[in-house]
Amino acid sequence: MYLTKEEEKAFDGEYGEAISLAMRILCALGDFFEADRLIPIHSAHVSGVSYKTGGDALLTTLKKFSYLGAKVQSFTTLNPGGVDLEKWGEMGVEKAFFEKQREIINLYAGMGIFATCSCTPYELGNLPARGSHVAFAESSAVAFVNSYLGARTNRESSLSALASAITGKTPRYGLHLDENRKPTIEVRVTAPLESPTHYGALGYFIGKNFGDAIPLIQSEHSIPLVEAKHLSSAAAASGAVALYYWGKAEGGDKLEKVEVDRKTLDEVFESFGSTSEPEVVMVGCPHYSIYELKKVAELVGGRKLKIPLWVFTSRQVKLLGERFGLVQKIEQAGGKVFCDTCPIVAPFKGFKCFLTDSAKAAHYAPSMNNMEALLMPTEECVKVALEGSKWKK
Amino acid sequence: MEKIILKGFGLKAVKSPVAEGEALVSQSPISFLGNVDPETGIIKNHPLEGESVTGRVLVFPTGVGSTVGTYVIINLAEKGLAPKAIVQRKADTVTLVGAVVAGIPLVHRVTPDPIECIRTGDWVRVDSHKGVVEVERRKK
Repeated sequence: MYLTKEEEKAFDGEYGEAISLAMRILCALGDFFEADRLIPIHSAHVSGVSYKTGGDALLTTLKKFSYLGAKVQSFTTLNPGGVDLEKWGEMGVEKAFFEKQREIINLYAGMGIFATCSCTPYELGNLPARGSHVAFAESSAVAFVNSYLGARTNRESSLSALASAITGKTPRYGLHLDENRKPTIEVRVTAPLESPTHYGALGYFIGKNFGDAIPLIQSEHSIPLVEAKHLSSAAAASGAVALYYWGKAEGGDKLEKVEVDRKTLDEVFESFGSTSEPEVVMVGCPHYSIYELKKVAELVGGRKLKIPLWVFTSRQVKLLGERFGLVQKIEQAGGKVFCDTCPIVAPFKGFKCFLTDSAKAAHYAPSMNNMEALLMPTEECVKVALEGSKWKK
Repeated sequence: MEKIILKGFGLKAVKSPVAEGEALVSQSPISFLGNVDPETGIIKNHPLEGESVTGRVLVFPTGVGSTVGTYVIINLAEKGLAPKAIVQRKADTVTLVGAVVAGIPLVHRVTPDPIECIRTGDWVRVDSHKGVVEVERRKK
């Protein structure tokens, strides 16, 4: 990979050891994937925040970067950590975990990263424009910004995204190049997409069966923002889908075609648990937007919950929700609205089975939290929480 | 003994580029976060459930799922539980950066297809600088 004189100096440590270390990571990556050079990025989004998922390796790496004087050179946002930084006690999380978690977030913040602690940075001001080059980790956000916003990012590792934030650059290969952004498979959707969760189920099917393909998805339905979030997050969790097209794309002729009908989506819903009763309902994966928070508050409609309802969102959306009285409505019913964390990366204890409207959360539940997950649209989730009714598939 | 040689692209940014061990071959992609226990190196929620990646040459199509998988690989390496080497049909950034930091030899895009021609239990020698994988069939 070609380096400019300035970049060579950065590599050799003239601008500090932190930049040098970050450059070495990016050059190893760029050389391996045959990038021709580095390109400047407009922004970055870093994953690897929860102490639960990153462990001591994460803490050690951040301490090293911090000790070497790392500061980010681009606008950079941060993924969710393992606890709500204010209401961690209510989550049943141990103090020792909270303290490690706070240390990790403080280390990131010390580098100049906005500690947004959310997987939907595009709802919090990190909204890359069409055609702009960025370095995003958080697989759901990668798929979202490539597909929905038309910005360009590879599916960065948590650490390569941090290296890009520190250097302000990313190797030019993969999805930064036109030739690698062509669709590779056509997915004809004849199934009715009745809720955002159905879009999630569709994404789950595509990721599971076609891995890192670039699907061109044909459907009579449109794809609003919330639906795109669910599709992106599920396809990136069950597979490694980093880019999809909805409806139209160049080079979309003569692709292998697969059909997704009602039966296919029903099977996705049924592939998750069905034997247990949910002990808690968790929604907000990816983090709920203000629209979704409003919807849940309305669905609760002043009644009392019989099963705990936990809603996950960003601090910013929660503050807005408080201003509009939405958070209060959920809390008065007995629900909780948590920030800074999510159903996947928090170290929950004491639940065996949960109900969610997120195919991504349902996918990770058994391996990450040793919990069975049940998948249903938001309306059904809230209904079960309100009625505490016997679970029926 | 039957010997097969696969050639492709290797990671050059590792200090000790050559490693060998018994192959563990996965037909399905792996999400290091979720599929590999960072405390034990044991695979879970995956067709290879119960197998250990520790000390083996891990052969799999590509990495999927969470981008935090990198830290799972680094955690494994710090505990001495990492694979000796990695062979992928197509490398992904998450696995690659983990290999770079942990110093694990990694090759990808080798021909013939590693998933087709390497079997679990074969003895595999990986040269990350040359991008070469040598496979010795296990005795039947």
